Amino acid sequence: MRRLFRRIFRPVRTAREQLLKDLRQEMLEILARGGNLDGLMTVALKALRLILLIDRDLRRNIRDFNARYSFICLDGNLAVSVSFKRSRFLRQPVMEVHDEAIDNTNITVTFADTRTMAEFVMSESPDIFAGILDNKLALDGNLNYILKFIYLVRHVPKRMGIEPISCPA
Amino acid sequence: MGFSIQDIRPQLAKFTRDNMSETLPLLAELLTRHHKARTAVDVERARYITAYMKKPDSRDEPIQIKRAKAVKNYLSNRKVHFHDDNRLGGATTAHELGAPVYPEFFGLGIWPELEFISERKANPQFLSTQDAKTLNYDVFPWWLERTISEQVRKKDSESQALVEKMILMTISKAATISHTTPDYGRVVKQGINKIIANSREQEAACGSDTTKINFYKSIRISMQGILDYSANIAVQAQKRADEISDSAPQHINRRSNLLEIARICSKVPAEPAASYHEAVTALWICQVAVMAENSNMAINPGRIDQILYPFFRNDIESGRLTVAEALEITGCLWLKLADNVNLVPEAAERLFGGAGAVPAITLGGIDADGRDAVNELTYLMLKVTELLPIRDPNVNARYLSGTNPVEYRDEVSRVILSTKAIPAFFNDEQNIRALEEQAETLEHARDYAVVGCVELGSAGRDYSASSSIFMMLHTVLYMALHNGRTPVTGDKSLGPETGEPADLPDIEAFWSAFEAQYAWLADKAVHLNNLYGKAHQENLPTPLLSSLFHGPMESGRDLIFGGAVYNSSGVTHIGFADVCDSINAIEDVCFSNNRMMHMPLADLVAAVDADFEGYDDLWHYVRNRAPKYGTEHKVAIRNSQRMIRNNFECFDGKRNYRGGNYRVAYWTMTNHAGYGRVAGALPNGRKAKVVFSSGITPASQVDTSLTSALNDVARLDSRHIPGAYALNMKYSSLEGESAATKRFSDVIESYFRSGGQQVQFNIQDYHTLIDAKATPDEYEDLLVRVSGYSAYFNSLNSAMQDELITRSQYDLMGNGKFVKLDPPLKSFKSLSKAGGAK
Amino acid sequence: MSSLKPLVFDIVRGSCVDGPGLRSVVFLKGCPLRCVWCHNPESYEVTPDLLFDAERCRKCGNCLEGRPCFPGARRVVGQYYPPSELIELLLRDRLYYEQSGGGVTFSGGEPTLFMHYLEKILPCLQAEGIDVALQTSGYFPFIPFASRLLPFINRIAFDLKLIDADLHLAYTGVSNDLIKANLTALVSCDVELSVRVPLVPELTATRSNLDGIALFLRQLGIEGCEFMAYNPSGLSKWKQLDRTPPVPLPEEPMTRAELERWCAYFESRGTHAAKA
Ligand code: SF4
Repeated sequence: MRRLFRRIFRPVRTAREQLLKDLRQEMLEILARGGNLDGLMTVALKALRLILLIDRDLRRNIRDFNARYSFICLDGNLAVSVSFKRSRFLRQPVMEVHDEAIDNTNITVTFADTRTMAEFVMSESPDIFAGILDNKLALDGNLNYILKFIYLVRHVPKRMGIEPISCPA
Repeated sequence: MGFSIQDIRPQLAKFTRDNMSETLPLLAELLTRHHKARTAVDVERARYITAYMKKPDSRDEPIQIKRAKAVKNYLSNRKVHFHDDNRLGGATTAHELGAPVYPEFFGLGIWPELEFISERKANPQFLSTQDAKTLNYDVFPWWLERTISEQVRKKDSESQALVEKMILMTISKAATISHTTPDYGRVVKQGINKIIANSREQEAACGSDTTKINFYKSIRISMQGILDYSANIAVQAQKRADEISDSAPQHINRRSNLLEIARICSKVPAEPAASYHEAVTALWICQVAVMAENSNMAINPGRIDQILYPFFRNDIESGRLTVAEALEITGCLWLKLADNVNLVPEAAERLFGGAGAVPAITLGGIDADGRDAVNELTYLMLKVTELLPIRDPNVNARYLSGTNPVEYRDEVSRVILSTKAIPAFFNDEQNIRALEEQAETLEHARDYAVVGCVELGSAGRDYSASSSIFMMLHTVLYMALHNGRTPVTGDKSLGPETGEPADLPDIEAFWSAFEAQYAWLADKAVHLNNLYGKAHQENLPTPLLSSLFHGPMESGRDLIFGGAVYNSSGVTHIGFADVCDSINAIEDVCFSNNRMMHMPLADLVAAVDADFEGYDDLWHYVRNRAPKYGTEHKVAIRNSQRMIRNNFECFDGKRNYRGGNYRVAYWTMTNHAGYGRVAGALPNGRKAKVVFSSGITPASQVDTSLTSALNDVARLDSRHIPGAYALNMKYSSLEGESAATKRFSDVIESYFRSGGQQVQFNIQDYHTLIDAKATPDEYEDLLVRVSGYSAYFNSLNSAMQDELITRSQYDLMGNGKFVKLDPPLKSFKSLSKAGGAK
Repeated sequence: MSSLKPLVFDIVRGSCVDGPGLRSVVFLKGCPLRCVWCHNPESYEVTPDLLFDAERCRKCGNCLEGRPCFPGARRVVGQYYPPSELIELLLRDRLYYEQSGGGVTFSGGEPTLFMHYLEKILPCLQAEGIDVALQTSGYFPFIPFASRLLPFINRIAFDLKLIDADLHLAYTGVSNDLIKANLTALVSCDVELSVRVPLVPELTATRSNLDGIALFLRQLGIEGCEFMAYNPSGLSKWKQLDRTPPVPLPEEPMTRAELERWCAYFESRGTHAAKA
C-alpha cells in the first residue's frame, strides 16, 4: 500500500520541485529586470505555497490555521491574497493564492509601491515599522497575523537560494 | 564584637575599582561575568503561562484566579539555576542574562525572526532551536487573537489604528504592566506568611462579595507561587552543596555559599528577615516574582537604603556583618538586578534599541517626617554604585538642600565623576511639591521613589504606570501647521481642521491651532490608554503585585482596578526642545517685525516641508539667529513656559480607568533618537531624519551657556511637571578630583535652588564618543546616560549614538562655555556612517 | 576716556578661570594698549568690528548685495547693553555665584575706559551683594578710578607685562610708568589684588623680564603672581579681522613643561608664581 502511494506521489513531488525551480527562474528574471517589481509578490507567494506543500516541518505552522490575508499595491493597482485552509483532497493544510483582494481577511496590507511590496516578501528582515513610518505601508487588521506571515515568508528566499533584497534601513 | 555605625564611611574609602579584585574578589569576578554574558531569549515563563491558559479546566475560572494560577504555575515549576557564585538565590530567567517573552504583550513581535534572532546584527538575543520551536508552535499561536493590542483593536479598531500609525503617540500598556515601586518593606519585615494570613482575615470579613473573595484567594495563590519558588531554590541549593565533595578552597566557599542560600531561602520571604543578607534575599525574590507576573520594565526596588537600614545597622553593630561583606551582598543584589533585559524585536531595535530593564533604586532624601534620611547604608550603596558601573539598576540620588548634608551631595557628585554617568540627581524640594499638587499627602510625597527613568511616585502606594503615554510633540506641531493632516495620512485631516498656514494671522492663532491639535491627541491618547486599561482589567489582573502595595489588601481591589492609594498614569513627551524652538522660529520669522528675515507662515511651512532645500538663507537664519530655548531669550522663555502650562492643563482633570490623574512628564529614553530618525524637518532648522533633543534638554549645539541652559530648565514650573523630567548635561572630562567635585556639586546646588527637578550627566568628550562609535571593540563597557537610564554605548543604535555624540558639551573647568562640536554635524555624519556597524 | 557708548564684545557665563568660583565675565571693547600678542584683537577699538570667518562662508554673495550674512560668516562684534539690561543678565546667575563663592568679572579691552558706564553698574551689583572683579591692564588715571570705581570692586587682577619701559612701549604701545605707579598705589588700597603676567615666548617670557618683575613685586611686598601661558587662540581672530599681528606669533600653545620651568625659575628669584 505504502509503496503504491510512493509510486503515485514521487512524480508529484518531482513536479513540485520543478515548478519551484521555474518560479525561481521567474523571480530571478524579475529581479534582473530591475525597476518594475510587480509580479514578484505573486511569484513569491506561489513559491511559499509550494514550499508549504513540500516541507512538512514548515507545514506544521499552518495546521488549524484558517487565516486570510490581502496585499494591495497602490501603484499598479495590484492585489493578491492568500488564504489558509485544510484541503480535503490532500488531507493536509494548504495555502491558496488568489489574484485579487478578498474579504473577511484577518489583515490587509497596503503598499505604496511595488518596491516596498517586493521588499516585504523578499528581504532578509522586512521592517514593517519603518514602512509605516515612511508612509509606504499601511496595515488594517490583526497585526499578529502579519508577524506570523513574515515568519513564513522569510523561508522563501532562503529555500529558493535567492539573495534577499536588501532593505534601505 | 561589632563596631559603631559611624565607622563605616572611613572604611568605605578603602574600596576602589582598582583594588576590587583583592578586596572584593567575588564582585570582581561577577562583574567580569556580567560584561561577558550574552543575552538569551527566555521562553520558560511564556511556556508555563501559556500552558496554564490553554488548560481546558481553567477555561471557566474567573480571570482573577486564572491569572494568579498561571503565574503560580510558572513560579512553582520553573527550574532553579545557579549560574555563578552570587550570594543571592533566584534569578529573573533561566539564563545568565535573559530577555523574558511576555506573549500577552509584545512577545509575538519576535515571531518573524525566530530563526534569525540569535544572529542578527543589532543586539542579537540568543534563542535555541528548541526554544524557537516552543514559541512558534506552542506559545505564539494561542495568543494570535489574545494579545492586549488585539483585544483593544477588536473593541475599537479606529482608535487602535491611530496607535499603529506610530507617529502620534505610543501607548505603553500594549507592552507592559509596570513602572511602579512595590512595597518590598512589608515582605522583608513581615514575611509572606503574614500577607497570606491577612488575606484570610480580610476574606472572612468581606461577606459574600465574590469579587473580593476571588481577589483575596488570588493573593494567596500568587503568594504560594513565591513560597514554592523560594523553597525550590533552597532544595536545589542544598542538593548542589551536597554534590560538592572535594575540599579545594574555592569549592568549600561555593559549598558554604550554597548552604547559606539554602538556609535563607527556606526561611525568607515566608518569614520576616532577621539579617541583612536575609532581607536582601527576600527583596530580590519578590522582585523576581513581580517580573513573573508583569513585564520586566521599570519594576523598582525603590528606597532600599531606607527599607534595609535597620537590618544593616543591627548586623554591623552586633558584629555579624563586616563592611566588606555588606558591600559584597549589596553588590550581589546590583548584579542580580542586572540579570535581565527587554526582549527587543529587530524592527523595534532599529528605533529604540539598547534599553535595560531599568529597575530604579532611590537613595537619600528625607523621610516621611521631613528628616534627613541619608544614612550609612546610603553611602555604602553609593560605593557599590561606584564599584559596579553597570547598566542596571538605575541608581538615583534624592537631595534636599539644607536638610541633607553637603558631604552627601559631594559624595554623590564624586561618584558621578568617577563613573562618568551615575547616579542621577533629584531635587526633593521641587519633586515633593509637585507630588503634593497631585493630591499626595505630605508624608506620602516625602516618601517618593523614582520610577524607572525619572518619574515620581509614593513608594508602595502609587501604582504609577508612569510610562503610559508618549505624546509626539513634533507631530502635534505638524498637524497645527497642516490643518490637522499628518505626515502619514495624506490629504485627509486626522485632527481638527484648525486652518491652513495662510489662515493663521498671528502667533496667537498659531498657538490656538497647536493647542487644539494637542487637545485632540490628548483625548485620543486618554481614550486609548483607558481602553488598554480595561483590557488589562479583563485579561491581566495583578494579584501578586497588588499584595505588595498599600491599598488593595484593605479595599479588596486589585491594583489594576484602582486598589492602590494613588492611581496615576504618566504622559511623557518627545521633541520638547525642538518643538519649542520651532515655535520660537515661527514667532520670530512670521509674526514679529523682524526685518532681517520675514516670511508668511505658509512660505515657512513650504520651506520646512521641502527640508529647507532651496531655502538656505532661511535655514541658516532659524538655526543661528532665531530665539532658542536654553539661551534665556525672552521669547523662548515665554514659549517654553506656555508649552509646559498648556500640556499640563490639558491633562489636568482627565481621569484614567483607575480613577487616577495623568501626570505630565518629559523624558524620552532613546525614543527621541529613534523617532527623530524617521521624522520630517522642523521650523527650528532641524532637518529631516535628524535626532531630536532628549527629555527636557535644550537642543544640542545651540549657543547656550551652562547657566543659561540650567536657568531655562529650572524656570519651568515643576507643578506643571509632576512626572518629572530628564535633563541631560554633558561635561568635558574633569580633572583634579576635589576641585572638580566641589565645582560640580556647587552647580547642582545652585540649579536645584533655582528650581530644577532633576539632572543627569555624561562626563564624556565628543572625540571619545566618536571614537567609541568607530571602534566599538575598544569601548566594550562604556556606560552612558540616555534619557532617563543608563546604557552601554555599544548596544545603542546608531541614531542614539549620534544623539549622545552631538549633545552640547560644557567645559566646567574652563570658561563654562558650551564647546561646539567641531567639525560640525555634517562632516561628522560621514564619519558616523563609516563607523556605524548597526 | 571715551564717552562713547561702551560696547560689549562677549559675555561668558559660568567661567571658572576668571577669579574665584563661577563667574560671569563681561568683555568691554576698546583698549589704550596695543599688545602685539593680544589674543582678543577685536577688543582694540571702541567701535564695532567686522569679523569674517572664511570657514563658515558659503559664498552665497548676500553680503555683496547688501543683504545679511545668514551663515554668520561675517559678523559685527560689539553690542551696547543699557546698564539695567546688563545688570539683569548678570543677576540671573546669582545663585551660582553665591554657592561657589563667585561673582562678576569685568574684562576687556580695558574696562576702566568706561568709568561712566561702570559707575552705573558696580554700585548696583554691590548692593545686591555680588562679588565684583576687574581685569585690567593697569593703564588708567588713578584718582578718578579710586573714587568712582574702586569702592565697588572686591578684587583686581592686574596685568604686568613687561618691566622694561622701552620694551613696554615697543610691544604695547604705551609706557609702563602709569601702570607701575597704579600697582604701587593699589597695594595699600582695600581690595584683593592679584598680579597676572602673560607668558609669551621670547617677548615676556624672558629671564630678564621675569627677573625685573620679581624684583618689582618684592619691592611692593606682593607675594607672588599668576602666570598665563601663551595660547594661540587669538590667531584666528586676527585672521577674521583681516589683520596680521605686528610680530609673528607662535602657532603652538606654551607647553605645560615650559610653564613649569618658568614657574621654577620665578621661584628661584624668590617670588611665587601660580599657573593659570
Ligand atoms: S553673506 Fe556670508 S556666507 Fe554669504 S558670501 Fe557673504 S560672507 Fe559668505
